[in-house]
Amino acid sequence: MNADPKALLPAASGRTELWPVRPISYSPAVKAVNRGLNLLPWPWGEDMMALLGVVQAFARVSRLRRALRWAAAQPGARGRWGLALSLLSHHGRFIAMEALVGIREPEALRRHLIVEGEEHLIKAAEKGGTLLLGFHLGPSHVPLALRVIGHRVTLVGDLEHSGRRPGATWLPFLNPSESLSISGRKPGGRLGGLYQARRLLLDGGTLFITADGPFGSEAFRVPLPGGAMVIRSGWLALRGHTRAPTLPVLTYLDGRKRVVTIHAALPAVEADPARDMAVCRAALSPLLEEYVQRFPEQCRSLAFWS
Amino acid sequence: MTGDSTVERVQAIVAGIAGPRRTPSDLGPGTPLWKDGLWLDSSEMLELIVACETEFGVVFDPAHDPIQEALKTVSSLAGVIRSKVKR
Repeated sequence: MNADPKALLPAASGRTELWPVRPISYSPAVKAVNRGLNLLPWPWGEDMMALLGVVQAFARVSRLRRALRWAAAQPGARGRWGLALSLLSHHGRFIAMEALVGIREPEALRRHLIVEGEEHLIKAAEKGGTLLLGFHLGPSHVPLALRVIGHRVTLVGDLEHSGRRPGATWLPFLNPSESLSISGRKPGGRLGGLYQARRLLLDGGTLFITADGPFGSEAFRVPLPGGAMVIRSGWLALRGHTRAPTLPVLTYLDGRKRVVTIHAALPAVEADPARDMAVCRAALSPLLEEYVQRFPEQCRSLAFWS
Repeated sequence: MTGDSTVERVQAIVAGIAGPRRTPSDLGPGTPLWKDGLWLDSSEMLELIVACETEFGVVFDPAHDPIQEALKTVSSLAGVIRSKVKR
């Protein structure tokens, strides 16, 4: 267990540095490329990263093989190579989007954003604490997208961007105090974020948490073509402890538009955790199956990280 | 039995969360809650904290309570709870 008191609840206790909040999972080289591309007008940087995503796979053949394997597992008429190249291209583009490359102010993000099902969020948030359940599919930054259209959403996780200092117009939307870190391999370290998240939900706040990802214990798997998605248990615990309505949120790229779809709430929380898990699994599986069927080229986490 | 009712009550809560399969027969105050002990994950630790709040009528303050330290063993958790009950 980590005895360093500074490691305790960094976001919640306000000890998080405002900057950098950078993509911890990316190499310094990727970060440097993002910074360079950020000098270009939007969407040139994104387009360049999309191209680099493809080019890099030919130097790093294991990634190309994974993309081809993913593509081969997808049913439908699309050719294996075409889908694999599209997946690689989207991977590169999503890295740039995650870093907000070329997006100088919130208005630029707002202009290229479509939010479907916003009424579900408004209705739920009016009544109290609301859990938005995201997935590592499609472009990231759903909480940021919802913030720029006026929703107060706290992220469970770490906000990521290019590491550059953004303009003053971004600061209200990138405030790390509205993020609760649950990263780390030790459960004691993740607990702080979960505990704060529970409090926030009980106090009527809106929280965004991803169901899948590298951290936390496995709750269940959703079998999908090309590999199963591992669903973690943190959000289920929050849901069980707060009875907050849980709204699945999926996002995809449609041309230049970032589309965020907020689905209707999952069924009400069951008293029995095992039963609740089964109910959630039954409700989420068709949503995820449909997503993979419609946007296999945007499922980089399933193709590369599983 | 330890003769310490706080430790015993925490121990009972922990055993209930870990379940019979993961609860060692020699569960005691010094049993680690995570590594080489009960292997509680973060969700289970959340359940533990919430259950302790209910059981002892206390509210943890993550900004001030040493929760990570408290969650080392049954005894360390009981210690933090005792200090909160006294306040």
